[in-house]
Amino acid sequence: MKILVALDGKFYSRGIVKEVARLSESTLADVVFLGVQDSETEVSQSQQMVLHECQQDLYSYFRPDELPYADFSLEKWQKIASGDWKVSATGMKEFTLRIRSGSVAKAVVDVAGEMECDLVVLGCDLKHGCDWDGDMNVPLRIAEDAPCSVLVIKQSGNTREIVSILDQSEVHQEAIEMVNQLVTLHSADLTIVGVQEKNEDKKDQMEQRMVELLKYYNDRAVSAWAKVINSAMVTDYVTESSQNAIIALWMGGKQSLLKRLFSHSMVDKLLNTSKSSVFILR
Amino acid sequence: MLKTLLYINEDLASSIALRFTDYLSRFVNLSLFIAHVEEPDENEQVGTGWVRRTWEDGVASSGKRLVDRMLRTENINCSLAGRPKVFVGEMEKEMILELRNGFYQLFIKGYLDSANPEPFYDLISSSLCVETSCPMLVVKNLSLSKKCALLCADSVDPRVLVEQSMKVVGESSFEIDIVYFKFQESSQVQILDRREGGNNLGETESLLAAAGKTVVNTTVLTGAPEQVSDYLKEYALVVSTMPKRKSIHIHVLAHSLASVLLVRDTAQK
Amino acid sequence: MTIEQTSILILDDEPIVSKRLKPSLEKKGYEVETFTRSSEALQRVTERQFNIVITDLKMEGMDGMQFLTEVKELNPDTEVIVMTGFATMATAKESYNKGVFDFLAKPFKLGEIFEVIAKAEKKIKRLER
Repeated sequence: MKILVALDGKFYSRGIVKEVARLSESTLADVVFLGVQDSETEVSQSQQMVLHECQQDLYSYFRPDELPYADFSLEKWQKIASGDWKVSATGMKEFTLRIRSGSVAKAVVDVAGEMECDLVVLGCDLKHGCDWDGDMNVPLRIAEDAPCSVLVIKQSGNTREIVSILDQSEVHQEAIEMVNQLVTLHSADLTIVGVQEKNEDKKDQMEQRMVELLKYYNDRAVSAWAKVINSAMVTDYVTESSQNAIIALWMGGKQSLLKRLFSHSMVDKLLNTSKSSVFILR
Repeated sequence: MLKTLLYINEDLASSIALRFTDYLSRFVNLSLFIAHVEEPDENEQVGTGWVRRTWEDGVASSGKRLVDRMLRTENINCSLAGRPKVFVGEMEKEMILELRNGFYQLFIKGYLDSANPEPFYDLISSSLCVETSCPMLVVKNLSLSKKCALLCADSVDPRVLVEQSMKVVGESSFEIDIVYFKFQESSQVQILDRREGGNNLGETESLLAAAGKTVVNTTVLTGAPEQVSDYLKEYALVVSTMPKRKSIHIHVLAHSLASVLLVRDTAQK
Repeated sequence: MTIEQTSILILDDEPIVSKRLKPSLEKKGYEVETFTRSSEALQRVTERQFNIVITDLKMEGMDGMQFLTEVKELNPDTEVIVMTGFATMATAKESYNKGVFDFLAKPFKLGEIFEVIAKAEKKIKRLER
């Protein structure tokens, strides 16, 4: 697994490093820390420092003999293209620091694609809804455009429940696996919420998906709780979910009910009003 | 052996109920029968005499195929005590009749949990629930817990709760806990001193001891119904006396993600 | 054993995993056999030796940890790669203690597993010389 972490040195970014450390410890993931700056010509010293500090925070989470990443002391930053710098250390797993110029959302989406990441993780400032300092709608734009799953952590803490909202869309194995990792990491309860539509065919498809998922978890001796709610109640249900939950949305194909329900404005609302962390699954 | 009737249809609730019944059979010695009712539309029903019988046979065989399909896809290990029973008619009416004539000791039905408690109230007040004298297990989820909670409260008759629940879980290998619930609006569940449980709790414990059952944990707690329901998630099933009217007690059961075993005072029937 | 074509056994009870991996690995020149049941996979490793075994950890029946233990006991030279959707530090440690070559948390891109397989292949060839 490869995790891309978008960081900007603000408190909401610093706050997620411990969460990322826990995830990378359990999954032995390759990790990329990405910072974004304006200048295309000179790499920012302060960005480098932010990334190195966050990397040190993450390393310090591990016992020295269990650290799967190599030390950076002898590594040097390299310019790999205009406005694009990186430094890597390869131990048992790879750790990369990368700085790119441009807009935050575009840089994160592009690097996630180029480096074939499986997950993008970022924090957000809750004071102004869910935002990044000085840049509008960063979490929303990343959630919408990233080529892989995106986890927006609102408040690091005690996650007790992962709530997976499911419609009739096909469920991808990669997305199930991503949910499984979070359930395992947090020893959290998994609740699978089926969204019911009036259309009988779609209702049957949704129930079929839920049966498949419940069997999958039952066969693996993992407790998963099933719940079915009316499509009209979805937004209230997710925005009222507890801050100890992570809300996982399966963004299926074009016909996906969730894609329609959680259109730009709805994902925005969810990111801005829900207390829970938000997990966009692809 | 507990003579048990499980109602199934081709839906998510029944898939869960089938699987949970299979899981339950590891703890409780079940003599399991499966039933399904084909409910044709009124305008579908035809003729009288042999015409009707032929039509009914056709409907019933489609029901049999449905049951076979369900049993095949769910791949359950629990053996059946007889061939699946398929009826044609109105589900509630047919099940009430079968339960009455078959002298079953447990009725199991799947129920899809939702954020809206109204369908649960409808189920509790349905003729199927009201006219069924044996305990009814409402399967809401597939839990892999080995624990069972007896839900006790001031409004619960300890004698009914213990006597009737022991008919189902008395011989089982479930760990038995008592959860004594006191309603209070609060932001989270609070665990109270067990003395707060009062006489009903003491009586429940004595009756269980007299029945030779060891209680592993007794918890007295207070909170809003949704929070208490959440606390009950650690149990495979929650045993409760049948609530008589809309109350906080029924609200807890409606929101419970764990399956609910409803028992009643058979002397009153 | 001299490697002509590297042989790989894949065990995952989720058929889609093998379905995704098998054709891509065959295209790269590997000889691949896939299994969804641990009992059948175990039977196969008693019949012949594989250079590389890729196994899931959490499955119905015999779990992957037990399977990899059996594989290493039967053929210590076989390099085992573990993949799991339910990763913990404890399972990673246990896997390495049992001598696995690498531990991959699911999901992963094909490129990632190709890289690990190539490294394992390199190790096998180095040991042969």
